[in-house]
Amino acid sequence: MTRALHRPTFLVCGALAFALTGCGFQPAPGALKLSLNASSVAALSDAPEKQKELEALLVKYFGTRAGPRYELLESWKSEGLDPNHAEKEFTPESFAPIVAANRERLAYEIAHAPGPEAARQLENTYPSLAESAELYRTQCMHCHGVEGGGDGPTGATINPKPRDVRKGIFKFTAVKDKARPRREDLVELLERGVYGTAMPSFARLSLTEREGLADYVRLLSIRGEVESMLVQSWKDDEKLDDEAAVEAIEIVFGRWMKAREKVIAFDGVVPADSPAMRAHGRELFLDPKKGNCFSCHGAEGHGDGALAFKTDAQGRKTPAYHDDWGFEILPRDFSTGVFRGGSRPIDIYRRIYAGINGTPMPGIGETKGADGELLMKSDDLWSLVHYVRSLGERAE
Amino acid sequence: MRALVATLFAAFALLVLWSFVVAPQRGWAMPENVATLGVAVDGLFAKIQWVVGVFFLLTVGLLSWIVWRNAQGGGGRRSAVSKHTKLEIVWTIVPGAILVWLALVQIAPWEAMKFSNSIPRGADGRPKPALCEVWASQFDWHVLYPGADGRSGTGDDLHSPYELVVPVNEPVVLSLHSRDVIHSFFVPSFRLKQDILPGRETLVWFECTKAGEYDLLCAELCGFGHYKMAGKVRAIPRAEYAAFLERKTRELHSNGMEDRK
Repeated sequence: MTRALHRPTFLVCGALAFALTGCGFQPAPGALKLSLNASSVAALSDAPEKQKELEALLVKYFGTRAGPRYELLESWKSEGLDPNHAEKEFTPESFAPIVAANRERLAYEIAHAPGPEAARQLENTYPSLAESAELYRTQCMHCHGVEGGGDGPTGATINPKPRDVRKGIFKFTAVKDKARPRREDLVELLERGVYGTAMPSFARLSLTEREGLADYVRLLSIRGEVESMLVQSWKDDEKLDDEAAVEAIEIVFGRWMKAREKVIAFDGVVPADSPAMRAHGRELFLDPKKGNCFSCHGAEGHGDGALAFKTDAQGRKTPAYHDDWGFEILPRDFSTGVFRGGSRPIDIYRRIYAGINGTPMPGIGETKGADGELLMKSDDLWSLVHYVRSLGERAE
Repeated sequence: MRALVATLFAAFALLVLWSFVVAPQRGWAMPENVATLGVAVDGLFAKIQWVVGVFFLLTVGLLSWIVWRNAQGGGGRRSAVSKHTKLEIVWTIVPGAILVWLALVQIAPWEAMKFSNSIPRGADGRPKPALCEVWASQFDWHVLYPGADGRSGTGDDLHSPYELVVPVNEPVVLSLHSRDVIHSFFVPSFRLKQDILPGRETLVWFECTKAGEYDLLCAELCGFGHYKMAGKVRAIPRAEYAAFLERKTRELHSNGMEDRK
């Protein structure tokens, strides 16, 4: 009978199809590992054994994808610093919002805890780096990549590209002098998203989870920066050992610790928006010796200033600038009313004051003129802020 | 063998029946309705479910019975109905009438929900203005509340990412917008779903009857991140709503000093 002949064929085909496709196409979590940056591999292409040594050093000091951890440095031990337990960086007051968030998220578990002590422990839960790495895997990795290199599979399809955190450069922070972001900058960015890009708000995660993700991003960023410093150290001094690693980690980690001293704030009441301020702001915007904003952002703020474009050999208009990640970059068009780093006056103030890290946007908050005086008084800065914000207003 | 097939058919029908009976207790049904318009939607849903349920049981019951009867009789062809005009008229008229009846009963809820002249009116007799603008973009929700000047799209707008906060127990009108592609504003607990087209203002209204937090979802496949395009609707009493706006206003005028702590 034909049916009897076909049944085994059918079964074999079905089994083969299942074996080939499986029931999903996600790599098993265990298969993922923190690899070297492509640029490190290229730089060490003549010394494959050095690649292995570098990888071993990074595993020693930063752990693995499934078990990320900092190797405690002697200097940290003497200072009582332990970045493996970021919750120790909180004061009881700053930890209070996390406890409140846990209470909300774990309401059921807390109500059914076997005793008051267990309930208290639940309230004080803080994710370990390994738990945050797992959350990173499910929420962030498909765009930002395993190592935070901005090279995840969906990252290739979006513009602007996902951030490569391995350079330690973060665009939208509250700090000046190209300092590393504060923990709050990363957590707030996760809550807000980067409006106008494919980076969505992650407010649906709990505050505790967002704090944990910020900790893990810090680890990835420090690991990435240390990696390129070690490659440099090998190139310059042929040094690729514990001593070089510890030195690099101390430098990079020190940068993150300094962020808090660098916060840009305005001691006083923010001057209210007014037609006079906007008019003054427009003057500064168009003044080549003051704001000089028009040269890139265009006279009407449409992001079409002369400096932002160049004409290539074929006579086409192309972006003149690249950002620190090597991508072409255009000045913001203010008429959209969309500001990626937040649209409050203080957010724009910080952009104008300190510039935007990794981009050609300069900061003019502390620039001095030829006479040694500050180029922009605080009222000038706020006038610019209000003018720039007014460009995105919709007509009635 | 036929008896077994007949029993399986019947068991399947009973299983489906059982699943509908226990669904509300087991959380398999829709979430609790907390909006005024949702009552009519649930009514329509129940009507359709009854119609479909009765015909499902009728068909599967008949099928099981015929298979069972044949099993007893040792097989063979009993009878076949062919060119039975009366029967054909019945099975055309009855479903047709049901469809017409459904089309008629849905008119009123649809009008209340979607017609522009159904937008609730304020004390001045004019349609209530939108409480806020909801901007959908790949892949999240941003809510813009008009600031002190009462106008949207100006410098004093209050920005709330992810969370749409509305006063409870009063009609709320929303102005929906998209920045990029087609999205759909979906709040299952309000039984409210509305497509949002880029470049066009779409108004929706609802009245939430119970304070609480409800899921806001995108119900239109909008890109690779569609599955994570979630938001939250928080319905709170008027006084708390005023406090929320006050907090947002304080945030807007922040001088950044609190970040120095």
